Amino acid sequence: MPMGEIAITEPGLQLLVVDAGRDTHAQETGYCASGALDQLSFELVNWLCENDLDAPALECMGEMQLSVSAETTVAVGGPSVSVWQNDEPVPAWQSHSLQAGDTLRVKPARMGTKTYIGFGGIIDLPVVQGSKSIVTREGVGGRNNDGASIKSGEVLLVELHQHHPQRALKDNEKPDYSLEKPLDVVVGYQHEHFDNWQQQLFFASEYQVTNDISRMGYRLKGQAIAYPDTDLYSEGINCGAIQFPGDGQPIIMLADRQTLGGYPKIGCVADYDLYRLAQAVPGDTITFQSISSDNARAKWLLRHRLEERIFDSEDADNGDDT
Amino acid sequence: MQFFGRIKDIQPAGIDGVIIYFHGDTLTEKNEAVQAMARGLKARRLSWIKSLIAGYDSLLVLFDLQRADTHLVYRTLRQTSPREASQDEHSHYELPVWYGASGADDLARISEKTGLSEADIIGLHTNQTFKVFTVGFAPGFAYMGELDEALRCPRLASPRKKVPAGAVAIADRQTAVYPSESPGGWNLLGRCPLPLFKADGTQPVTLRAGDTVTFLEIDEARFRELADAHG
Repeated sequence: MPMGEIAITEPGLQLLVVDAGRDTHAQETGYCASGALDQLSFELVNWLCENDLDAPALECMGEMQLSVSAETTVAVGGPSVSVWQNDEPVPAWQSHSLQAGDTLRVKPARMGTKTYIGFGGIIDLPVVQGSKSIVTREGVGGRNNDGASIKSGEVLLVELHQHHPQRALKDNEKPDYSLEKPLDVVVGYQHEHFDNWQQQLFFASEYQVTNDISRMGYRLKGQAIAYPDTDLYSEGINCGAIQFPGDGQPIIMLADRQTLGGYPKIGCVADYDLYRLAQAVPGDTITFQSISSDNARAKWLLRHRLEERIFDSEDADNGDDT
Repeated sequence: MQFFGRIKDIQPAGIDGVIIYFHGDTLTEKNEAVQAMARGLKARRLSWIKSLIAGYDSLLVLFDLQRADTHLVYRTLRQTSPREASQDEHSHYELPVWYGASGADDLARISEKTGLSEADIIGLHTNQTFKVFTVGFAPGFAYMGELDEALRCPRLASPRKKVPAGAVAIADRQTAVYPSESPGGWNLLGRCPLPLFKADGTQPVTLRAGDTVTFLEIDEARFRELADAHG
């Protein structure tokens, strides 16, 4: 397979390589889960490039620009992002063929959202615990395996696919990032220790996304939730877990969270709603509603089925199913 | 069903997770119950279990949503016998420590907090075999315990911005070695020259829950020798 070069000319606020995250057992030895914050958009750009859905892609914040050394399929996705190929506007959420020397520029409408850029091929980087994700906090991943984010002037090598798919998402297949609907929360962990009325207060309140957001977790502010004093030993933290430190303001744990923590938790944002949270920016308003784990699983399976219908559609068109 | 006696509570932890809390008279007993259940589940090689994250007194079971739900986890717990560790399952490590090493020396402060002399502090830390309760927070960070009651020492009021890799530390009744440079609020006893975390996996020490550790006092010359050898 031919190797292509992707030269980063403008990295934006933070540019990382991410994938579906580490082997599931890596957390048992203290490695964070890692991976794309918005897994839905990440998988969709990979599908548009006809990659495996867990192939490494770029996750960037702010305006970024790159150029390629050989013919390369690219696809860009994220909340209201503008895309230019050689200064010509082109649509997001579809595959494009860049020619040798072409540039690609992306710019999201709102500062702080995450844009995903998929390449038709395999980005060449060290694999740690089954993943090429860059984890800045751990100093792991990336070209020098030191966790550094990608800087201006850096070059990524990609084993390019030789086929160049033409795929596009229909409007109704694009992710709905709106925060109007509450995020589903599977209640659990220490929820029984929170007074009933404190639980009700949490689900009845609006919370703002603060500036204190990172790939580890998002801090929210709003109605403080009280929690009775207890001894809580450090325990495993699932993605989306809502924990309350002493000030009673929720922190929602995300991809690069530490594996163990000792703050009380009221429950966990349902997996299928995490991408909406990950795309929220400081000042956005978030609300929550509780859901039982059975209903949440049913909803997850339904959403998953819809995504599979997108992911399987091209194969059906090619007659692979027959 | 005997093992349900050791389970205190089971709670959902997200769509694809269940967290189990265990009984016990002491933290060591609770943690043994956690480890025994984790071993019992591992021995069954259930491919729908994605990850078993052990805490001090809890076990987080993450499962494949396509193939399992909380009810299957409950049923599986009922059918799983906890397993004691076999002899060869766990390793014992002897970790050399340069006590009072530059950059990692809170001996005077610990002395003040505990009323022990510096020699007594080092003596209590080297005379005991510690058990790894769990590994987490950062890659290779092993929480070990339990320290002699006399050495119990609260965390710093405000955490340091930077603790060097290899720093050997105590807090409450726990001890640990910082595998890589990080912020930290524990009291520092000294430094261990052996790498506990390298991204390429070549570290000589990989602590896992259930492993045992003793600390061995070395001097600065030996520290430098070992640190050079493990560059």
